[in-house]
Amino acid sequence: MANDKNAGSGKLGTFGYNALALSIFILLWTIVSWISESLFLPTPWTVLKSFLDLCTYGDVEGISLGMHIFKSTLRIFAGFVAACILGIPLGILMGLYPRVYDSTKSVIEPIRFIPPVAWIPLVIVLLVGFSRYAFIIWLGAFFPIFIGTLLSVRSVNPTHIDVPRSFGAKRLYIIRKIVIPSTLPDIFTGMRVGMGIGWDCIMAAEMIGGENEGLGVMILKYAELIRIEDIMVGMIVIGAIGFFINEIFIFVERRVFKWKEAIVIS
Amino acid sequence: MTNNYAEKMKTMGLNFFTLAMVLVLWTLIAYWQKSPFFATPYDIVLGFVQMVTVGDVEGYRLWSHMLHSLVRVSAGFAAACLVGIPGGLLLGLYPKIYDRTRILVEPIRFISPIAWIPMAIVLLVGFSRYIFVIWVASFFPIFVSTLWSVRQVNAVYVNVARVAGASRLFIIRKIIFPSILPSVIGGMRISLGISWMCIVAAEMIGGQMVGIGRLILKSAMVTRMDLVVVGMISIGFVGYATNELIIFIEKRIFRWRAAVSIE
Repeated sequence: MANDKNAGSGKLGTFGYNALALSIFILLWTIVSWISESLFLPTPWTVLKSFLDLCTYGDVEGISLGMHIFKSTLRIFAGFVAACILGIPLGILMGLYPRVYDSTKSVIEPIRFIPPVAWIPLVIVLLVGFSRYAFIIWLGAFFPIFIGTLLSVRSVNPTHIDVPRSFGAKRLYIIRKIVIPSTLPDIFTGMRVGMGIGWDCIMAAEMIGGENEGLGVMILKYAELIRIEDIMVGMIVIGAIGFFINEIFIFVERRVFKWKEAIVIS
Repeated sequence: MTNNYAEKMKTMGLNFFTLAMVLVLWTLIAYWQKSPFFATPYDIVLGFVQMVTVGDVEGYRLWSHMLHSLVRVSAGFAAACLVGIPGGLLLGLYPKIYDRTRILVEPIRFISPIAWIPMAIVLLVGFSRYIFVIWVASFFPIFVSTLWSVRQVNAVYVNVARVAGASRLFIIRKIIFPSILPSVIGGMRISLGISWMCIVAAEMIGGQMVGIGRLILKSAMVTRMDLVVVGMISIGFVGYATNELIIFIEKRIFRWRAAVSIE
């Protein structure tokens, strides 16, 4: 009991110190920017004000922050769903028939090493509008999902497959009841990594891609106007959305794969 | 032994076959399309030769683009290692500091490094822009993997040394450092992959005319699709080569690891 209480106060103490660190940081920031009066170092309050302005009035072209967020998430969602639809079945298939993967490695591996961002100019020439962004996100998210699925299918415990086989289970039954459940956690991790890369790629794609909406192009627009406070707002929003998406994945992972922790022996 | 060898040869043959099939199909489609947007593999070879001998539209040759990108990535990456590894070590040894200032560090981690590019454009000039973006991109994987692996060093090892009267510095040098090295190098490999992605984006947006990223964008503007593909292949190649280099070093350093593991 005493221990519990101690742990509780320890947590509370850490929380308190964190709050203290944050307030000291904000205070220092405010003081330094007041003293320097520099265009390049806005105070926290200016940043807050431009956040409210961006929400209510919109940016220099009148596009509100919500619209930018909506566009970016829509693009990333479309590309990500496409990557899942293609990557997971293909990964399972190639994992079940390792021959196919081993003999097409010479085509797949080189493409894997080209960073998705390097595809943007090609995509700008060949595709238009929404499909540009979706393609880049698809490319960025595809490989982590595909490779994660593939490797996981290959490392399914052979005993788990051999037992039902010796009892006369059909191939489809083994895939549905054994291969897919045991690869699901790895597929999910691949999806989370793919989403992270996709979130990086969408920024680059929006900055280069030419359309006026999206968080990436919003901060680049303000960089041209040298308005640091609006760039900061954009960066904070990008960080917050990235954080929430990651948290959602971790939350689902913990909920769905509770059994995984329970049956581990070692 | 021979069976294994035959199997390997067969896989290699099949690989060649797939590659040849893809190239033939690509050529056929390109001929049938007759579009300036669809370069044939032969065009790409010609484009490569042109890049090596003459250079791009502004006369920069391929090796100079590659060199610029490589120097930018290595400078930023080295800076990230210099700050990230000691920083991670320090905060790992004093976990209280990290736990109490988490609220300042953690949010920055989630801002995608590419989102720093506009900020770097406003605040910095020339070479330092790229270095800063690469530094931001590669710092966190190195820092976080160092930090976590310090926390996970087997406490028994540390306690045994401490009981035997080892000094703090000795424990760090002889026990903590060797046991965190594998995950530090793992973090470095992840960082390098992210760095190659970010340098391409930074070069496309950043304004200087050399660098592979800029070569790709520049060629796309004048619809020289062969040069675009040459640029994409070279960035893939350089990324692959640097990754292999780290794997090679890792294998050299950790020869003992295979020998002493019990499992």
